[in-house]
Amino acid sequence: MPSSTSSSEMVDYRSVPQQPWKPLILIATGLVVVAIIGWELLAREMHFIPGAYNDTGATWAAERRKLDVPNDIKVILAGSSRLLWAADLDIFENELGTRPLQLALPGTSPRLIVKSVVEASDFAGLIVVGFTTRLFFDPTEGFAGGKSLEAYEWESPSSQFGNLLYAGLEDHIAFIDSNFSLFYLLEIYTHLPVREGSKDLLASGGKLGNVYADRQTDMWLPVEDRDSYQNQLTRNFWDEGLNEAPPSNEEIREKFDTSVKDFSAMLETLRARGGDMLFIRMPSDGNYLARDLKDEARTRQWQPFIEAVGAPNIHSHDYPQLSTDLDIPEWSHLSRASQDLWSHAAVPLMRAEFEQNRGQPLQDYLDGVNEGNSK
Amino acid sequence: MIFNSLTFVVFFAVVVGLHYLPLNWKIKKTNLLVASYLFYAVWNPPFVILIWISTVVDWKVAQWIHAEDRQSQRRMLLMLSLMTNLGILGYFKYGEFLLENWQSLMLTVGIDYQVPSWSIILPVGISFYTFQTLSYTLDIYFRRSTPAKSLLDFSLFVTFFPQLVAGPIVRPTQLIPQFAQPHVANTQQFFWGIALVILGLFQKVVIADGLLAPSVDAVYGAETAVSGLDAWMGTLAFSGQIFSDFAGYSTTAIGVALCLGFSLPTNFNSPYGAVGFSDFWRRWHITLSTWLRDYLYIPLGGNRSGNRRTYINLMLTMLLGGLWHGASWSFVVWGGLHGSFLAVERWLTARYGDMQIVSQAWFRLLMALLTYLLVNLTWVFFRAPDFGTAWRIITSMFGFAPSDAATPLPTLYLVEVALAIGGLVTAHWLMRDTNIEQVAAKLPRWLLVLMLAGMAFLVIITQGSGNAFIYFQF
Repeated sequence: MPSSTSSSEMVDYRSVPQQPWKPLILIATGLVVVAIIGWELLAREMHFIPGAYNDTGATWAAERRKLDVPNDIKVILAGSSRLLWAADLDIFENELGTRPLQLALPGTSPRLIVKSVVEASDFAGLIVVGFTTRLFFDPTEGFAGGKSLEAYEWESPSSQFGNLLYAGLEDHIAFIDSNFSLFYLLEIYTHLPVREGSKDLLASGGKLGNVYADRQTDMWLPVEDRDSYQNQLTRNFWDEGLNEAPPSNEEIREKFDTSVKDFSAMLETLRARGGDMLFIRMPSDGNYLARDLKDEARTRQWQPFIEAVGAPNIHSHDYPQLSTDLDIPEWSHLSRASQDLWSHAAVPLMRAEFEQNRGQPLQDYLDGVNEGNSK
Repeated sequence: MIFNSLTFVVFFAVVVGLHYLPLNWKIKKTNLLVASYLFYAVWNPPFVILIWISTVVDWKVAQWIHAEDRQSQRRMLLMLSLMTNLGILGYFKYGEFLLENWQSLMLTVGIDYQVPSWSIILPVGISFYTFQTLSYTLDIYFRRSTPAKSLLDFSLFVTFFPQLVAGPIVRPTQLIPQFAQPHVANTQQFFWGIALVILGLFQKVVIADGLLAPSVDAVYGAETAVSGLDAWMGTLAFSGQIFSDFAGYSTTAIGVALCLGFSLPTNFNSPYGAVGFSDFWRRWHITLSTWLRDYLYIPLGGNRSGNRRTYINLMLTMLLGGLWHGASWSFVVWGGLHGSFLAVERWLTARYGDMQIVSQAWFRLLMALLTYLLVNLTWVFFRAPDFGTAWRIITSMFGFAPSDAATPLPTLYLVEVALAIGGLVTAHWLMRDTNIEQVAAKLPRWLLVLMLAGMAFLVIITQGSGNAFIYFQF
């Protein structure tokens, strides 16, 4: 009878092929290092830079968790990608005297974000809510809401450690940008005959921005050029969305009513503990603007919503400095230069709107927001 | 923790560093045990307790069984081990499934039995370590081996991190003796181990996740029927994805263990070059199929009790093998199809196996292609999220797609799948009578260097999002 403990007769030891493995592996390692250096140079040539992070659910979760420990956060930015690209956190900090927490999520209704803040923290300051037509009323988790909230609610120790390591590498290496991965590059640069009815690989979106510490997000340099391939890829993606069949009037009504109900309840809860919301309708251009004008989005969606909810609000079309003066290269998001302009222009308008609505200067209000918020 | 993550790179470097320090063997084993618990705990710490329960119960029960001569007592002790291990597995893996089916059954007799939602998180790899620890107790019950002398060795056998969550499922007689004696890799073993890790990660990251997963997701995620071409290409892509994902894990696990000086068994041997389903199961997930053979099929009577009983045993083994993969009727259907194919093959072999044509090369190649195509039909049930999707895909594959069927796969994906699957099946056919060690020994050195460098480079630049291996969920 074989013994489990002492006999090694039963052990089937693996054979090793007769090759000089050590020198082979070392030479291969050298080749890989050379190839990686070349790949890194190519990435930088194509305007990928070290120090920019992949904006994953984990990066949002890390920001959201700042509310769960003692903090002095007084302003939160909650919106879709337009607010993410529009706000320069340094300028906001200089203008307001406090650094906002950037929680806006691409392709996602701010409702999820506001809900997380109002219902799962004791934050009692100002939430600036970005309003992007259609997306605002989306009842789903959207493009990034699900994974971000999931990462916030549970992230394994392994994943947390991995994110830290990854961020450390991203500080020094450009090619690990998810938009520079091999198969993504193959998809956007391999031009094979288009198969009718198939997924359009050139309308799947592309890199739009660079994300830095605190989720400060700037438009990616190639997208700022309206004639660039990257800009075209982004507009293809927007067009694909704009060409989708519109929802029925009944669906629109239902989404609208749900949004009014949810935001009214959340505003009431937030105000009961001293907080408030300020809605900003974000600017757009090109086919997006054309669609909004055609749909009469302002009179049919924005105004009824604002009237129903009753919160301070700013519509970008009322102010050239928040709309027509700005550069929106791919119809939806602000260029880096326009981000600065928007941020400088938005804060004074926020002050005026807030004071008019609440009868209290915004600065006095922010000074009075309790410090040490934590859940 | 998954192999294709930065966390694992750091973890493995630390483990290797500790393993090669001039420490005594017991300390090195303790290091490996702690590392293995850490490897598992960083995914979800509380679930380590389940491994501890299995370890302690089987350690004690095996000793009691060994010391007991009365058959009735031995059987009761075995039941204790089975109930503990299968009880944990049943609760976490099959609890929700059983409850849903109970509800459906009640509804058919007019009882609307509503129970609160039962949200259970499935501990990663629970089926793998449960089967591994069960084999220890069963071996001692069947008097095939004696209990381990050291709790440390046994704990490490249950937990050894390279194969803890997705196999290979290792027998106690293979692994425990290796822990009993000092083991470190020599230079050849260490660097060959690194080569295997590169190959395994290439299979997972580049082939499975990068090249094939998008096509699979596009076809199996379609909400409407897809064209015949898309259905076939999506399914062929899945055959490559599931192989590259799982064999990639096994190869990496074998390489990682070898770097530490331990030998794990081969788990895959060119399965898509198989001629017939018996051959397929000698090549696919070998450590599971031999486990099912030794601990289920043979104890059920195997082929010793007549033809009818043999077919029943075969089918039962494959149905349970299907259910082992997941708590879903689609896995049962998958197992049932494999059982049916095995039964038909057995019947045909008994009648026509002696015919001269059977040994001719062209016929074997034809049978290999037929086997691969039939295996692909079974993969539909394995991959489809529900029976509706599976039926739509099967219908399209047999040429009954509706005229307005979707064509989700772009030309690039079709080209990628054709190249990857063509290469994979050809490689399996050419390697069906050899193995990776023999092939590597024959290749010119310059080619080996280029292949290793190329694979490592592609792994790094594919970089993906660190998707978990498919078999973690089983």
